[in-house]
Amino acid sequence: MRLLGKLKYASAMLVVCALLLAPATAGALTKVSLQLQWVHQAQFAGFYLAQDLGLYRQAGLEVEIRPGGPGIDPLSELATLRCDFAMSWLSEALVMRSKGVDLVNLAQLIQRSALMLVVFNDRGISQIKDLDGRKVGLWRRQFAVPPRALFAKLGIRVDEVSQNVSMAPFLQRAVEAATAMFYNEYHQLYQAGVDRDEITVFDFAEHGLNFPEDGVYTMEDTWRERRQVCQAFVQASLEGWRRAFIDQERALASVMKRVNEANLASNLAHQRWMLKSMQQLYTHRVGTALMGQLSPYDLRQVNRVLVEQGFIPEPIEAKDFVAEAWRQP
Amino acid sequence: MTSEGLKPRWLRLRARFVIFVLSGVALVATAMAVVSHQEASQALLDSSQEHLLALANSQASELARRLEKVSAPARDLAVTLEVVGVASETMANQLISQSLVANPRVYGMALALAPYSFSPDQRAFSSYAFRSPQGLKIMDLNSPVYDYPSQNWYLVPALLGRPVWSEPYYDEGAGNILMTTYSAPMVKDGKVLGVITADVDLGNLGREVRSLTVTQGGYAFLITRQGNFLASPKDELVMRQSIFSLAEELNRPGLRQLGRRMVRGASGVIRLNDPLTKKDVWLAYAPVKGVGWSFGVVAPEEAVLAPVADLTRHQLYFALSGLTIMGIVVLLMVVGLTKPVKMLTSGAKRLASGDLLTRVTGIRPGDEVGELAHTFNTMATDLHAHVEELKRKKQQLEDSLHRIVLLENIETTLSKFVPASVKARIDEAPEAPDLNKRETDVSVLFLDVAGYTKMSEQVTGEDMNFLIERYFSSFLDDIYQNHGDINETAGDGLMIIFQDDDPVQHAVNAVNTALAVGRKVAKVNQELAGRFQPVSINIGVNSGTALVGSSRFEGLAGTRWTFTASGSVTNNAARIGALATEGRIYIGPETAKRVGDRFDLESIGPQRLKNVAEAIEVFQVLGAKEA
Repeated sequence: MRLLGKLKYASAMLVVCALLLAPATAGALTKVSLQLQWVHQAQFAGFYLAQDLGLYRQAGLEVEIRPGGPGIDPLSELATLRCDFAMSWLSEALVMRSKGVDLVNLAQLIQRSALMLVVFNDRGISQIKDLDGRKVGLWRRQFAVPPRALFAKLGIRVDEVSQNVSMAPFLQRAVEAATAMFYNEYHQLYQAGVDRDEITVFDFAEHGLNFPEDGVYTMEDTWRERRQVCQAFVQASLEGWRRAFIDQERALASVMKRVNEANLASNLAHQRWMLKSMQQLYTHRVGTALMGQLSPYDLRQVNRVLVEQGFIPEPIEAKDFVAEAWRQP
Repeated sequence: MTSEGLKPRWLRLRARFVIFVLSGVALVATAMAVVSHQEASQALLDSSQEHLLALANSQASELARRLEKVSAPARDLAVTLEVVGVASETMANQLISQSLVANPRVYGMALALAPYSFSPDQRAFSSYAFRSPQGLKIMDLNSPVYDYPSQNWYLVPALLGRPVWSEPYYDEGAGNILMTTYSAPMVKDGKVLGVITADVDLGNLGREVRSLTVTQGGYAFLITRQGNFLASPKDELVMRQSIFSLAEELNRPGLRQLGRRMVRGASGVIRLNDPLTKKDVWLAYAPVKGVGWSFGVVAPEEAVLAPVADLTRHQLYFALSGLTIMGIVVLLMVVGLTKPVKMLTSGAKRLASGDLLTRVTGIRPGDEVGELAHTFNTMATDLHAHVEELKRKKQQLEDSLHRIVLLENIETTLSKFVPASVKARIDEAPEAPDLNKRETDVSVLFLDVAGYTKMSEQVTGEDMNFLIERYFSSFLDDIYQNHGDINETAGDGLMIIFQDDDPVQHAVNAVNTALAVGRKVAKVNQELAGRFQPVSINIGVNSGTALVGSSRFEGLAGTRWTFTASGSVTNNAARIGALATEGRIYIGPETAKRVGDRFDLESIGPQRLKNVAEAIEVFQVLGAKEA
């Protein structure tokens, strides 16, 4: 029994060593890079955890995770081949595709739109229509698509104010309404002392404008030529996400490590909220098994709105656009 | 001795007194001390809190004053430029750098015009002067990565049309420090022309806040209207945390409530557990007026409560010394009270052991104990008097008893002299003896000492009595043996009555008695021969019916009862006796008739007796007939 136990132990150690050493000694780690949409935060917790748990390494990859920020457009980075993979909203990717950038959706991560408009209850705005003629903070580019679509549908015109990353203009009542992400700005308001019952939320997903957000994109050529690398990367990333949802504190440690290294103005409570939100948004409708799937309905819906709004002349076909790298071979 | 089965006290009066009084006093003192301590400590705490609040208010004002020195130049410049306008980049650079140099508290100043307001061809126009490590530096803010019109320091005041203090931010690409910015918009005809800003180096602000005088062990902090820390004892809180994120992270809703009060510009004092130091602290907060920030002063509870602790120590000290003094006073009082009681107790013990002359002395009069002592002494005196009286009475009683014994002896002796017939009658009915005279058949004997008169001349009275007693005593027994009642003694004579149901018997008894007396006299004569002349006793006896009973003689000295037989039988007996000489025994005829067959009689012939008409025959008894 003892001998057998030792043998088992020894063989287990050997396997571990082989796993650890094999790719390194082989020198076969494929270097890839991922461009995030924004600075380090729990919105990307699964990628961090995949990296920190060695999931990429196990997949034979050495992944460079590049934070985004003001002035960094991931899809432009991708289009100019400055990165292998890029995070982007579906709507923006469709616009890029329609502009002739041959990118493909490797996996659709966020299934449900987290975009919302917030208003203070004391401003006499009980429905979106009431925003007519008022100052509304809107982000640029694709962030403005669902609101504009909604305003157009409702036939109202708002006084658009270019909104930056902070909620200060809204908090200081410089605008009547502001765009917010459920996982981020909505909670920032709470951390600025605004109680949940002091504001009203208009959720775009609930107004027929569920724009699936974060997805992983690569160039069509990359997908064609390095399919296995794409699959390995996406699947390792999804595994990272699954683990992150299971062991959230571990994932938060990975998040906070990067937040602190980058000296970012954030805190653990906020990241915890964001990670919890991510779990809802990622597993919405698909659960953990089908994470990565792009719903054809959602694609049609976004195409339709983009065409209506004149962002694209015609819908983008799924066969050209959707590369299901998330699916197990 | 436990009377009534009561449990004995296990403490002496003294100990009990001290314990009861002291515990009572201690209780009252403690209650008073607690109340006064609570009031005093509340008052001190209130004043400590007021002091802390005053500190927060004054320092918030001081901070507001210092910040005013930052905001004023920007506002002034904005007002100026609203009027004169911005003519050139050189002018802009000159104005802001001049203003910056003139205001050392300001880290950097910017002039930023609204897009396309400088010229329709130029979207952005800005000038920024700041204190770089290399000295004053002037730069254009506009760059592809720094779109100033979308920066909050520009956007918010431009949208609001009024000056605004920004949240803390890291001014990357321009000042490159952590700062907060005051922005004053230039407004002309309701249109925002641009903003003038003045930056505050949060590093400096933090140092200033930290340098403010704060209670020992405490600290000050500053939060924005969004609850973000501008200055705190922990630098890492700045930018990262708001008071609300801390509350969320630590799951402390109370902290969130505090934060909401603070950002709304309230002021107050609360006690809480410091999330930073984990200690119980008091926090006073006050708004920084004109800026919209809130300033907080935190003092450790032990510092706030230090005066209370001092007070407690003092009160404890005073309470203890007061109690000690009280104890001594009570002890003295108790000793003063119990000492006389002890004296009284020992006095009572002495009294109980019989020392009736004992008195308790040395107890001052005038109070209850004094009264008690006085009462005790009075009681002892009374007791003594009573006992003396009792002794006297006892003596009297003893005397009386003695007399009673004497009397009993006398009675025994005298009873011999009580006539047997009387005794019999008394015995018949002791309560009411029938002593009335009855006609009874009796024999009466008269006995006479011959020569009594002559003899009484020859011997002294004393000797005379002795002789009489000696002789009479000698034959008293004979009289009783023969059931004779001595009726009368008269100097030298005796009258003896004999009764019996048998008329012969009492006559025989009388004659026997006479003979016995004769023999006794002879015997006594023989005994006293040589000392006294011999005595002869003459005896007369007569029998017959006589009235026998009591006769009462009322006299001045009282009533005298005599028991006698009266009538001629008696008179004749006396006269017959008077006939006898030289110790002869004469008997009347009736007697002789009854006893003739028993005794040798010799008639001396009829004799004339005084007051008796007829002469009667008298016999001399010679002696008893030989059987």
